[in-house]
Formats: sequence, C-alpha cells, structure tokens
Amino acid sequence: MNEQIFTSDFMNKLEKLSISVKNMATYGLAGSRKSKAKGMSVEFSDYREYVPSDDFRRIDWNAYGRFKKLYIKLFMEEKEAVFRIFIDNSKSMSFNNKNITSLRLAAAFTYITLNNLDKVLINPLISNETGIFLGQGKNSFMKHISYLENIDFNNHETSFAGLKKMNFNGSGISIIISDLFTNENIEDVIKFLAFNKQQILVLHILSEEEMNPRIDGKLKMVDSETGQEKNLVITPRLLKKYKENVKRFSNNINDICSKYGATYVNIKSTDSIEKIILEDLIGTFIMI
Amino acid sequence: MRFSNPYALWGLLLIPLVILMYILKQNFEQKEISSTFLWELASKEDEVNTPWQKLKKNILMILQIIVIIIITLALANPYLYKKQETNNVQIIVMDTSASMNAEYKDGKTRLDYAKEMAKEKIDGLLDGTPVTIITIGNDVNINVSNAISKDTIKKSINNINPTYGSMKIDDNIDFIFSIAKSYEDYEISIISDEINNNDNIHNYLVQSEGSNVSIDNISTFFSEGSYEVLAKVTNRYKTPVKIHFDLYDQNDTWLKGSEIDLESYESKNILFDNINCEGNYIYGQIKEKDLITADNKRFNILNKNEIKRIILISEENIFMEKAILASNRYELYKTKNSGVNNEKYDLYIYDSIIPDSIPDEGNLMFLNIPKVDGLYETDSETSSGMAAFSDEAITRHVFNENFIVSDYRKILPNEYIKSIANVGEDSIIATGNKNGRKFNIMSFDLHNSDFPLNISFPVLIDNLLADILGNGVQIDENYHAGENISFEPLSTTEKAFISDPKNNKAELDVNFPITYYDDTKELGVYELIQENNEKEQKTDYITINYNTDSESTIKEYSDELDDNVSNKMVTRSRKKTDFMSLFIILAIIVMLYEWKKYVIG
Repeated sequence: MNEQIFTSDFMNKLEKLSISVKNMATYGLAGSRKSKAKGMSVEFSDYREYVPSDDFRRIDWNAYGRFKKLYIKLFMEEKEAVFRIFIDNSKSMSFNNKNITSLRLAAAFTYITLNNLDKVLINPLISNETGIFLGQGKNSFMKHISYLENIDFNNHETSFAGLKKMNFNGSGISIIISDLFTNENIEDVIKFLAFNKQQILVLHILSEEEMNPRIDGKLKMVDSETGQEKNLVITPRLLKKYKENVKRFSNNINDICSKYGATYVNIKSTDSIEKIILEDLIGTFIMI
Repeated sequence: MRFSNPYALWGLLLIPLVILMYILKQNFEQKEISSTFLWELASKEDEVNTPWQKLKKNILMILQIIVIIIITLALANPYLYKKQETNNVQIIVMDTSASMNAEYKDGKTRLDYAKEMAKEKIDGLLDGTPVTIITIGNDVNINVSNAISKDTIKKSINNINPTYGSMKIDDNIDFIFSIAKSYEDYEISIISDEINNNDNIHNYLVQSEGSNVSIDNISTFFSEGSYEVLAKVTNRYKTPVKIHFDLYDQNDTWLKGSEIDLESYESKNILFDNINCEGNYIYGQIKEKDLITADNKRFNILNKNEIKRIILISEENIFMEKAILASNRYELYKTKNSGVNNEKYDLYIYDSIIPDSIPDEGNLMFLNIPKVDGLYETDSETSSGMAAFSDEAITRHVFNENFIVSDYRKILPNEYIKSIANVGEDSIIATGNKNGRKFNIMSFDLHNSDFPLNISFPVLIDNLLADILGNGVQIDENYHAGENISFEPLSTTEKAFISDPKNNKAELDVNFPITYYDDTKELGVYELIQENNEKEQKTDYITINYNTDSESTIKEYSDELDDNVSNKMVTRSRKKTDFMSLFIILAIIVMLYEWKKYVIG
C-alpha cells in the first residue's frame, strides 16, 4: 500500500477533525454517541481516570479523597463502545481511489474513536482475520495506520460472508465502507447487523467514473473482480439508463438501511475527508 | 421491371463485402472496469428483448445494405414495361423536314427530341424486336431495315441529320405501308411535329411553340440603273410581332432595312427601290431570332439580262413560231412587212421575204433567202435530197437525224460561214459570223421539207437561237431545299460543275439534254459553271431557299386534339421521369437516418 495515503497533512487534519467532532459533541449535540441505552440501567460499572472535558459532575470525590487522583464513574451504558469498521477490500475498490478514500475514512474513524478511548476493531471484508484489535488509546493509532496501509485490495469479489460469521458480544457500532458491488443480498447483511444490536452506518463509496461514466463506442468491459466480460455498444441512451440505475441502486440500499434503522451515506471517492465527516455525516448518530 | 444499364447490378456484390466488413469490424475495445455490476443492471432491460437488441446492433449494417441497393438500382436505371410492347416489327418513321429544325427553349431542336423519343422507344422494346427506321425530309430514306441490335439502331438514330426538305409524311404513307405489309405483324410509329390521322399509326408528337416570322419571297427588277426589290414576310404565329428586315449584298454589305409590325398571321410586302449594288445576288434577313431561324434568310439572284426580242418577218410560219416560243426566253414579234419600224430587236428572222435593208444592229436569220449582200450567196439551181447534220457542237443533240428537203439552194461557201447540215456536198444550213455579227442561213423553205416534223427541229432552232443570241441555258434560278436542280446545258458545253454554298464542287453529267443535281440540302446560293472546249466558262447562280409555305407554319395541337385523332394514339414528348434522381435522394435520406442512429442511438 502506498504510504502517501496517510500523509502528515492528513494526520493534521485528523487532529482537527477530532477536535471539531468533540466540540460538536460538547456544545450542541445530545451526546456524541446517541446511545440507545440512554435511560436504561444506571448500574455502576467502573472507574476511569479523569481526562479534560469529562463531565465534572461525574467525578468520584470519594475516590479522590482516597487516591488523590480524579476518577469518574462509568455506568453500564457508558462502557466503551466497540467500533467495528468493515472495509471492503475487493478489487473493485482499488479503482479510482476508492481504496484510498475508504482507508482514510477508516483511519479518521479510528483516530476519533481512539481519542475517545473507545475500542476499534478493523475488519477487512475479505480476510482470514476478523475483528483486528490493535490496542486502545491514541498511542495505538500508528499501529492501526500501519495495518490499514497494508490491507490488500487485489482480492476477488466483495463478500460479506465473513461478516455474517462474526460474534458481536453485545451492541456496538458497525461502519461498512464499500462500493457494494456484490450479488449478495445487502439486506441480509444489514439485517444481521441490526439483529446483533449494531448501530449501522453504511458508507456507500463510488467513484466519479462509476457515477458518471464518460465512455462511448464499442467496449468489451471486463469485470476486475470476476473477469466477466460484457460487450456493449455505448450509446447515449444506454448511458442514460446506466445513470438511472446507479440512482436506483443507491435508493434501493437507502431504503433497506432505513428499514433497519441503519444510516446510509453516499460518498464520492473524490470527496475530502472533512466534507464527509463534517458535512455528510452531520445529523447521524456517529458523531463522537 | 427492366434496366437500361443492367451492368450496374454488379454493384450488389458489395453487399457481402459490407457484411464481411461488419463481421471483421466486431472488435470491441477492451476495458477493465471496477465492476460490470451496474452495467449488468443497465443493459438488463435490453437483454430481455434480445432479438430486437441484436437487430438494433446491426441496424447500421442493414441501413448500409439498403443504401447500396438503392444506389445500385439508381445506376441500373430501371423502368417498367409499356403496354404496347410486343414482338411485332417496329417501323419508325422520323420526320427530318425543315420544320423539325425549330428550337425549344433549351436550345435543342424538335429533331433532337424526336431522336430521344425514338431511342426511348427502342429501349422499351423486347430484345430481338426487328426495327426499320425511315426518315422523310429531303427525300425518303430507309436508314435501317429489320435491324435487331438495339445498339446499331440507336447509332443510326444518332446519325440522323436535319434537313431543310419539305417532303410530307402524309404524301408517303402508301410507301410506308407497302414496306410494313411485307411483314406479318407490324406497328408503325411516326415521330413528327404533325399528326397523321391514320388509325393504324401511332403518333409521337414533338411540338415547340413560339413566335415565327418567315421571308416568303424576294424578287428583284433592274430598271434604269438600279434595282427594285420586293420582299414578302409573314407572321406565322398567333401573337403580333415587330421585326427588323435588312437587305445585304453578296459581300454582306448592308443595303437597306425596314422595321415592320405584323399582326398575328399577317403577311406584308415590302418594297425597296434605288438599290445599287454589284454582285450576283442579294439576300434579305430578319434580325430577330425566333422558333425557326432558317426561314429568316432568303436569297435572290440579281439578273440584268432582259428578255430577247425576236421579230419574224414572214407570211406565215407556224413551225418557227412554235419553235421560238417553246423557250420562255424570247419575246416574239411577227410582221409581213420587210421594212421594220424603228423598234430595235435582238434577232431579225427573214422567212422568204427579202429585206429591203439589213438593220444596223441585231442578229440575223435567213430562211429561204437566196442572197444577202455582204453576207452570203446561194446557187441558182435548186435540188432535193436527204439532209444530214454535220458533227458540230451546235448539232450535238440532232447529229444523227435526217430529213428530206426539196427545192433547196446550195449555200456557196465563204469566209464567214460554216455549214452544219448538208445534202451530199451541198450545204443547206449554215452559221455565220461577220465582224462579230452572227447570222444563220437555211437555204430552203421549211414548208418544202419534213424538217419541222422532225424531233430535231425545235432542238436545232433553240440551239441556233441560243448560239446567235448568247442567252445560253434555260435555268430556273429558284428552288427549295431538297428539290432537284434541273437545267439544259449549252450546246457548246463540254463540262459542267456545281458548287454549293460550302464550296463543295460536283461535276455534272452533260450527256443528256437535261441535267439534274439533287444535293440541295444546304440553303444559299449555288454556282453552276459550264465550260466549252475552249475552256471558256459561263457561270449561273441558283438559290436554294427554305420552303416557307409548307414548313414555316407553327401548327398547334391542343391537349384534346381533333375528334378523329385519339389521345391514345398520340404520345407527346415529355421529360422522362428521372428515376435516378429519386433513388439518389432516397439513398441520401437513408444515410442521414443512419447517421442519426449512429450518433443519437
């Protein structure tokens, strides 16, 4: 993988993003994680060390008196969230910088999550390994970066088979970053995640070329994943139909997501990370 | 359906080539894309209608094949069979008379269109149909007879030349039918600017309308040192017209002109006097160009020669009178009085009446006069016998004749006279010339001889008169194109030539009393040259003009035609439907549609 995906410029952006997201969480939004568990059990769970920006009211003064350190109480529902980031690393994602965008998104979410002392599990869809845990806290971020950099995008077809075999052990947040070019039933995947008490975010990433192809003539199109060939005479009429189908495709997935309470965001691979996170994801549950 | 140019159908061989090209051209540009997932969705609807989709893919090829077929058909020039096509022998009569030189607005003549109609008819015939082409103009010509090869027939049609002749097809219908009836089944077609009313003939009418003015006649009269010219012009059309009429001499020098207004179908005579010109002929010309230009010019020979005056001094001599009057060249006066009045004559004929005195001027002929002082003497004795002519130029046509004569006197020879008829050694007819004054002698009474009853008598008298008066040949100076020029050569003529207006010279046969020349197709002035054995030449001029009476009138046929001419039997010349243009337009439309399909889809 090209190391230039995670440039120093990108890293700086991540820091700013993280602060922006936190500010939004502090000054306006009703919690960076809209927990479904809100109003549920207040059973004491654990302590953790106070970090700036924590709520003063949650400081356990008894613990301070004993240990001379500030600790805050954690309740059950405030236990660290588990972010599962599912990255589609099929061959189709390697076209038109979709892979770069998806990795940067994954990195951005990882950074923000780690900053929040939540847990991140990286899950390439096509891999022998799942639920890769590389540590918590900001210090583990570079490990995550290194792992992300080495994800292979030369695999065959997109497959959610691995996802459907996972054990989730409780609720969490699942982010799927994919172009969703699969013959598998997306609804089954969403349904599976929903049944596993996941808050689902589907980032449907497509390139400009895929959304608005500028081709003509007689073409033998070869599928990069399956090698399947398709002879087509590209006429204006066919292009029009193609664009309508892209729209229909997106709408269809959106409908499926809505049905199961998942969030669907359509992303262009040329969009910047800031735009995606600070604009496209505004209003979704995912703001930390 | 048949084709004028069937060889063009070889172009259909391009169709398999196009198909082959299309098959070979089916190389799609290979392109790896992220996924055909969305393309599968997009083209799924089309795959449902696979046969139509396959057709749509090939529609460009189909359109190209259609274009090839259309263009090939256009070049092959198809046409449909006509109803009257049969294997019957086709006799096509083409009018090549003067009126067929009338022009259409595009510059083509009626004859040009007639030839196109004829060729079109030939193309429409079944292969192997025998065709005879007859042209009628100057004369009747069978151009091809019973020909089968269409190429040969059409070539002969192309070679048909216009004439200024005025021969009528109607006058030769019997001849045409006589040719036709030698075949079992036949069809006769006439291509002309006039319609023949015969029910068994199909008329092909070529007609062009327009104004036409003709010069019908020019005549000249020489008097008191100058000419008077009388010309007649006629407007042959239904609309009034104004023309400019000009006179020119043979050097094309303008002499006089006049502006003339003519009402529809009006004729006018124009008189020009005090015309002074030298040369042998003049011509009149109408300045304005009209439907027929050939009748806008007319020639006339300038003739200063006056009619010769002959006086016959005789009691009565009917033989001489008739012989003299047989020729129109002389004015004959008679008297019984030897002392003639003060009138001057060109020839004095003394018949058995001795002149009191010989006139100072004029030539002389003495019949049965024994002696004339200073000219000749005869023997005092009379005799009888069989007379024979000597072989002289003047006796050419009578040389072998004999006649009986009684009571003749022998002409005594002298330096002035030459015998041309003898009884034995005795001269009884002689010609004489004293100091340029000519005289003839017959030393017997015509009534005492069977000479006047002899076929040679008027001939000899005419020869003697011609020789003595110098008028020479009886020449008719004015003919119409196509007519035969006929003339009697001079008795002294050894050779004769005629030159047409284009200076084509032809030698004439002068062995007969009357000589004919029939190559009068050119309008203008012809020169007739006669040469005697001393190489002296005499030139006469003859005009060949357009026959305006029969060929200048613009005949109009209405669409309904006359009652006795069925429209079915008349085909009018009209522009042939140009199928080629229609096919080419169709091909262009298909190509535009093909382009639209390719670009827009």
